[in-house]
Amino acid sequence: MRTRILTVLCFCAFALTTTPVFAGGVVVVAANSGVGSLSKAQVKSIFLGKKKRLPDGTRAVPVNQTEGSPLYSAFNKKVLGKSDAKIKQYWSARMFSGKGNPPKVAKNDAEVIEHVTSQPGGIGYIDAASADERVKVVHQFD
Amino acid sequence: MKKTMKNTFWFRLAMGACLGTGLVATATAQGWNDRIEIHGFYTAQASITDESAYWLAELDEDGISKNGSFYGSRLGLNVTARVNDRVNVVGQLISRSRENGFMTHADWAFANIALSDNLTARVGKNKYPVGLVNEYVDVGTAYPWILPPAAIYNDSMSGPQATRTSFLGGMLAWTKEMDSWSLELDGFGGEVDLGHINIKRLLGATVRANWDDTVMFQVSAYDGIMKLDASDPSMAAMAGMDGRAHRAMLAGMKADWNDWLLYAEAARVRMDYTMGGARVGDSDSAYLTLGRRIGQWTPHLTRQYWRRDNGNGHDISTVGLNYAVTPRWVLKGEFSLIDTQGDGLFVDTPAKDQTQLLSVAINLTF
Repeated sequence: MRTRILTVLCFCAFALTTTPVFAGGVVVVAANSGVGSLSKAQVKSIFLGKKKRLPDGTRAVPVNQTEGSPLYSAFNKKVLGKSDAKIKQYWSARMFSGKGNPPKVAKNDAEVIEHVTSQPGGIGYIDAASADERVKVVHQFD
Repeated sequence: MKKTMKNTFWFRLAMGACLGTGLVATATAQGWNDRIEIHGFYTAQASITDESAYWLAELDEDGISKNGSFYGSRLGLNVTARVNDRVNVVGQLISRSRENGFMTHADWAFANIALSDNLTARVGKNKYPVGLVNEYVDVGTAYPWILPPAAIYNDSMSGPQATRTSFLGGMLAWTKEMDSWSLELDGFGGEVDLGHINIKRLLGATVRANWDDTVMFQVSAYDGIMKLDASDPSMAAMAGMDGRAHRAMLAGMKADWNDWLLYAEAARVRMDYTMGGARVGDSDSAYLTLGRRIGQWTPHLTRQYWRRDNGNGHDISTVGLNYAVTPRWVLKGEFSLIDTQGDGLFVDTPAKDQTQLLSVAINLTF
């Protein structure tokens, strides 16, 4: 009986350590960008396609995380203030009336960093733990 | 016939110029992949009534009757080509279910030219920016209903004719962001091609006030002159409409707050034309929809009203239930009771005063 309980506990501990847990996210631009920090409202306007430019005047080129990922949902909820379904509906209405397309999608944090460092105006969001010297954090969300 | 050909010519020329400019520019630029985006939507729907007379018939479509129908099924393909930072070209092809198979046509295509960060010019075949959901009325995942309220979203000759599918011409779209509010003003002008009848010298404006994409108020007005195709014998009975004014005013609000949905809209259409003592084109219409998201489910209720000056009209009560399998894939079911005065939107006067309508649909975007 004791062995069985220990086995279950070990399994639970293993599951907890291997399940990806979202600890916190950061909005990033290239380290050499002229953008300092951005408010939540500014980030929201950029990712909803309402603001076309970053505060330094360069054309904003936002990139999203993959639909359904924990970071994608957290960003939608904490920064954009909407559920995944509402965001989908928002972009459907804009896209199919010719008023704008959603940001391109990156597969993971590495691709987001590649995107923001390879073109002027690149902006994306990644897990806080993935931020390195190539990017500058301009906004944080939990 | 000449006029139709002329309109077709100008439409093709505008479409060709828009798409050609975009495609040539993007082809010669680096990175097709970065500059061209393709998206789409698909709706498969089936409806049945308990009435022999067809409802929502169109020129090439019988509509819905007790025999059942796939009326409303459609596939759309949307292409955006970014020419440069200020110009992009957008077009949408749509294929609709008809009695004799699917019919494909260019739904709209226009060039978006950013004149400044707040002002955009759109030139080509534009979506008609009148009505809360009219600009994306074919995209089933973007609103709760299977059949958007016919009291507003029906442009057949016997219908309210408050909204139109598209117009050929230009539009200036101005936007202003203010904290949580955004203000939009669309001024548009051109002509509407309805096949045997056109609306010329169209001028209109739409104002939208949007609070955090949660509550939106919208008001529209437009004015145009009806021009008939005199060579078409089927238009002879309506010859008196030629050269007469067609104007409309619409007001509406939409809210999506704390999982509650609300759509409310009213329209007043006036046509300067009298037949048999009645201003047959004049109509008043309105609808109200209430819904609530409960997890992936969204039950909703709609009541709509439409009356023409000649006595035709409908009162329609609808109860619907949607299930969002994913944000991109929604299943819908809807049941309506249609109370009819005169023929309403039926081809012939229905046998009973009240008709039952049942519809089911699958909506996808990709």
